Amino acid sequence: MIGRLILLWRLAARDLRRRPVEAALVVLVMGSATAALTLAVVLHGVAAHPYEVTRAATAGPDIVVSDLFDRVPLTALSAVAERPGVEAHSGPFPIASPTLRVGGTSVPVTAEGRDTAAAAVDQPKLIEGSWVSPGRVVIERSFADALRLRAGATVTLNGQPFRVAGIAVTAASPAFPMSSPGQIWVTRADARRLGAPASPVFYTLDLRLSDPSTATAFAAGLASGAPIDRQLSIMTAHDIQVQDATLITNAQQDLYIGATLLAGVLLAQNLLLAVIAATLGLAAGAAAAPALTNPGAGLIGAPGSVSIGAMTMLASLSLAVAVVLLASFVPARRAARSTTIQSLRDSARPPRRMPRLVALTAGLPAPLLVGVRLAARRPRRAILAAISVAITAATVVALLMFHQYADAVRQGLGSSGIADPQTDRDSQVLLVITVMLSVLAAINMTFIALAAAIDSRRPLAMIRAVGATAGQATSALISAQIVPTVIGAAAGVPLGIGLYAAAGSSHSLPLPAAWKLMAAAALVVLVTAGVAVIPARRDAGRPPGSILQAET
Amino acid sequence: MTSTAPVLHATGLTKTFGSGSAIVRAVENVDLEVRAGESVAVMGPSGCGKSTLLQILGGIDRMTAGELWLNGRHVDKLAERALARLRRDEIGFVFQGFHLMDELTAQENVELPALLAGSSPGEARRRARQLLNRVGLADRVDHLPSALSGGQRQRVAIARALVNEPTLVLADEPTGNLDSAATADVLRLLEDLRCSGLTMVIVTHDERIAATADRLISMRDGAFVDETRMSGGARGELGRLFGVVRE
Repeated sequence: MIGRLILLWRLAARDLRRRPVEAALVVLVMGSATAALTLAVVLHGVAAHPYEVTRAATAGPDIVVSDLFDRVPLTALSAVAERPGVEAHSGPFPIASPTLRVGGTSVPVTAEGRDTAAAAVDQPKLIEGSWVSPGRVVIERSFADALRLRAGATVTLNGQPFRVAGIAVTAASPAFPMSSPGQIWVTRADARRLGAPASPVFYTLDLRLSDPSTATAFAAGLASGAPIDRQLSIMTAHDIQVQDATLITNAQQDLYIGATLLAGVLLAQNLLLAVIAATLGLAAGAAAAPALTNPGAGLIGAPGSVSIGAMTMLASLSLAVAVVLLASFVPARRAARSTTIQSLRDSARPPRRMPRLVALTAGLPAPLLVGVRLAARRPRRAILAAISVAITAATVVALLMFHQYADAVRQGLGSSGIADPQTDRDSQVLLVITVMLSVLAAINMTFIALAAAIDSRRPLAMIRAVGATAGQATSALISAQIVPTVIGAAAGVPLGIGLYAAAGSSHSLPLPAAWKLMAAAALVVLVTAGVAVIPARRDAGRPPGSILQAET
Repeated sequence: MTSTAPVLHATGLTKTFGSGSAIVRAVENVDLEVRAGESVAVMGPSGCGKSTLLQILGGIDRMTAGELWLNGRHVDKLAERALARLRRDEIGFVFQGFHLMDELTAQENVELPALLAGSSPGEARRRARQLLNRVGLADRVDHLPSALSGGQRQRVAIARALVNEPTLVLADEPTGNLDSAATADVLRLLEDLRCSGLTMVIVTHDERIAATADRLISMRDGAFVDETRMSGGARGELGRLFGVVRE
């Protein structure tokens, strides 16, 4: 038994030494996939953490009650704070809806009037600068980031100049852009002054309950209570948390989709490399997690507290090993079923005669004719290449559509040009997935091109021996690659549109221009053809005699 | 049959593999001249460097040292692209292992060098059919190599070697993989080619082929050790003795 294991190890080690580039590529491929899976797993359940930290730091409310439409007397709103179960409250605070202007940007804002003293419930936590004072405003951090505002800047509210006193976070409302318009705080007097006949001041009340778990029941009681209570707008801490978590959960969904696609691309590797790659992938995933799990500036706390646990490691390693076993099973079984004589003979299975193909390709130029016939001899490899390219093209098309959506969102925010963190985060995640898939597709194409070059070594050396130039031999090999590439790119366009529709149904919009889709497909074809040139040129540079002699 | 014009002229041809103490001299300091219409056979034990020499003469491998001229062109100074053109236009190669493209039919295999040389598809097809007819395979033009016997494959390979009307045909053990009947067919075909005035260099173990040549060179350990001029070649007693010449 030990002797067998030693033999297996020696054979595996020898193969790795003989093909170091292929081994490195396998490590890269598996590592990328494991990193994506690690990110997806790590993101699971971390969304709540920053909100809880923020809530604790700002004495966040359990319930926020607002008279959005100014239909309820202020005394009736205040009376809500007297209800059983309410432990503490702050407000009612006046809220105005002025227009903020800074530089060339003009946006509506929610300006909450506050006391200069700290509130018992929902006292925004200053990240920078100082609290409100007459003529000085505090801006919610996500909103400030979008406007690129810092403490000390000057803005106007309904044309009146205000100095930015500070930047703060709150747990009483979702961060921008989940809460839009953006949130700012001014003094009570300034808030009242900013009210306009078209958009009068209304009031909001922050409540802390003696038993926070009864928040939903408390809100339900108000919503189904007296007619006057039913005029009020109610939001629980859970509602706010869910909206704040949207940034992360969207990223998580995107990553799950990406990881699934990546796993689909991986059909080429072996066990030792898988474990090495999975370990590297875990480390890469852990390193990249903070960038993608950042909850946005609207909350404090960070996913640094999220660690790669045993379950995450187990899941990632299991994926790597499962993919390897799956990919190795069919060829291993085929090898095991070959007789010794068949194995020693080591001759390729002769191609089947295909009269229709012969007739169709009879008039092609010689390099193209050779390339097409070589590709037709190995249909499964051609299909794998086409799928690989289709996935890449689909991702590029989805990215194109998402950018169109992002542009539309930016235009929808008016001419303000404010950055939307939600859209930016989606863009980042999709870009990461696209880059990973593109790298994987390029590596996969390199693998396929390498394998095709090895398989085609003898026929290409043979056509060079009878007079083909290195360029003609390279053209033949590229032709063998280009056919499945073009098919894959053509299939990738509708696949990408479908993928985008499935993954982002809320992001419906007209399709990108046809020329953009065609350009994306053409780009994928050009890049993959370029990848195929490398092994083709390498072999084309060797004297054909040495190859023919080695193959004889 | 031979003229005085040298088609091939080689001096000091040397080919080594490896380096230092592990160096292997496959071909060492070989001088050779082949005149137009002449047929030269090279014989020697396995591993003596015959096939390597032939590949160097055919421009499909590079020499380590020496000089080689083909029809007055300095082959060892040619760039890869020019060398490919030389192989295509001036040389026909017949391999022991046939080296046909499995994915192409017999006719397409024969057409291939012509198409690579820029012939029109119609012209390439016409010449391929002519040659396949000449080698007795007119009824096998649409067959893949896997559907042909060894002798038939070698005949396709010979037709391919002739499609661009080369000035020199190089044959590496052309009967090495064939049974007796197929060997006899190929021998007759080679003899026909020789009689038509084609210049040939044939590497072989087969004394019957050697008997058809104008000159027989013995090779050992990478070097020429003996040379015999065969009077009459296949048209003489030897040819009749081995059954190469039809009575």
